[in-house]
Amino acid sequence: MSIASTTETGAAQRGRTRVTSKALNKVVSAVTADALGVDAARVGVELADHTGALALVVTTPIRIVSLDRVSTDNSVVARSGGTILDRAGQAQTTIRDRVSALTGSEIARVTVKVSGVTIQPEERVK
Amino acid sequence: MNSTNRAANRLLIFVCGLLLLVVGAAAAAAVLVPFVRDAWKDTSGQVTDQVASWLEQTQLSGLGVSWILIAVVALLVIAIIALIVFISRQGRGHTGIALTDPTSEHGSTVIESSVAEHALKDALDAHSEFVGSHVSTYKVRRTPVLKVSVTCRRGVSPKDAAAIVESKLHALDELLGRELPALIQISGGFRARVTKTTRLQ
Amino acid sequence: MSSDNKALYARISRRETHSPRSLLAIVLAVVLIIVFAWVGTEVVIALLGLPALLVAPSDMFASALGLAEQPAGIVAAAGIVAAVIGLVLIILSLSPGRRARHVIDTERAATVVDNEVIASALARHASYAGNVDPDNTTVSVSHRRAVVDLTPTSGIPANRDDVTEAVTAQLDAYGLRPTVRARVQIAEKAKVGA
Repeated sequence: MSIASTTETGAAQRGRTRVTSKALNKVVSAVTADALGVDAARVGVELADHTGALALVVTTPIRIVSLDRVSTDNSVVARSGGTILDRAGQAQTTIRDRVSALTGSEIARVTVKVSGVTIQPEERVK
Repeated sequence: MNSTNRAANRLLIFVCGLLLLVVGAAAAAAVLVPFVRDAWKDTSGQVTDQVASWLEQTQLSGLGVSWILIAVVALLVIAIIALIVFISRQGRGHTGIALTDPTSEHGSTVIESSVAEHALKDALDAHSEFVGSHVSTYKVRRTPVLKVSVTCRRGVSPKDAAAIVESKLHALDELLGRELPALIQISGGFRARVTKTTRLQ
Repeated sequence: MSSDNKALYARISRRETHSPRSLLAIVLAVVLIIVFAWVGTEVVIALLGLPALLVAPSDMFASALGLAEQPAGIVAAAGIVAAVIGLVLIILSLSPGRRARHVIDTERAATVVDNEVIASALARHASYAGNVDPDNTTVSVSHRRAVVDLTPTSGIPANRDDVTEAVTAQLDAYGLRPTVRARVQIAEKAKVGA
């Protein structure tokens, strides 16, 4: 699906693609799941209007290494994408950019609620 | 670590105690101490008349009852409601949100308590020094504070226990990217001491 | 530790080491509710002109005033009991109500330890220092003292200084607040073959 066919404005189009909220939910879940390393089914999305643009509240667990790993290995946090706050902040940007690119919706706010953790067994870090 | 108003508790106990003390002492004095007994007898007549005249004077027309009595009932009701509120406010204070980080006006991050709680508990349970652990989050003066409660095996040094929990907390700080204030509670639960060794022959 | 955390931890440590007196307060509150509800009901019933439930307000008032004429024994006894309970309550409300815990001064967090954990750790070290079976060691930790009671094995004397040194070394390492001093007592009568 190219970007051009989904935007509302633009002289070349002859029609309008409407993205339903259900589809929007799915896109946001998928983008979030990808960004934070969790299962899309466990991501909750709330859509709201924020003076004309979309406001997203994404409730999701996050994949982490165990605290014991963090104690013993100095670089594991950096290798897994940074601190939880860093990753959540990055995820906000990623979600906004990719969702607006995929659906053409204008997104004003993204709130990421980290609701839990999935602790990675002692294997390679994603 | 809850939000119980301890000063209020102690105030209530103090006031009740004072009341009981004063009333009890007065009653005992009224029958035991002759001076008090006579004074009581003498004044009781006057008091009865005085109260009766108050009730007369404050009669509400049409109802035939004094508004003083109605006010008394109202006060009692207010007192009962206040006491019920008092009881209900004992021991609250849990919170579901560990920290909020407003990144910008484009978004914010909310870390729920279960993140820290789960990560800590998972790491603590791996240590044999602890029989069990429990992590919860309370709001103390509007700041979320972690309560890490560990149960030690018999003989474990409190210093070692504290050190282990602290190292986990440092790891959490590193992983989270923020330092959350925390309380470490080290308990044992092995009060009953075995006094006889079982001899295996 | 940042300065606002210090105040926070001080508050937490203080609360965790003293009793909140919640149970007593709740019990008293319930009793008061029952008493107020009953009195209120009696007054309302009297205002409505109905017969009283237990005691009509006017009778309550009359018997309170006529206290001096009531049987002296019962009133005196009840009065004294009430006064004593009142005194106990006043004392409870003012006393600190310390819990069997100590604070450990730590960097990263506020830490409280149950006294029994301290005791069991000390017992282990005391038994080792005194060449005694741990089952023959009893330690009880109070607000400022740790009392170590050792029952040595017959034929293997326990050196009190060694034990005191070992226990004191441990206590110093723990960094307890308030500080705890060791007192070692070795039983005169030793256990045979223990």
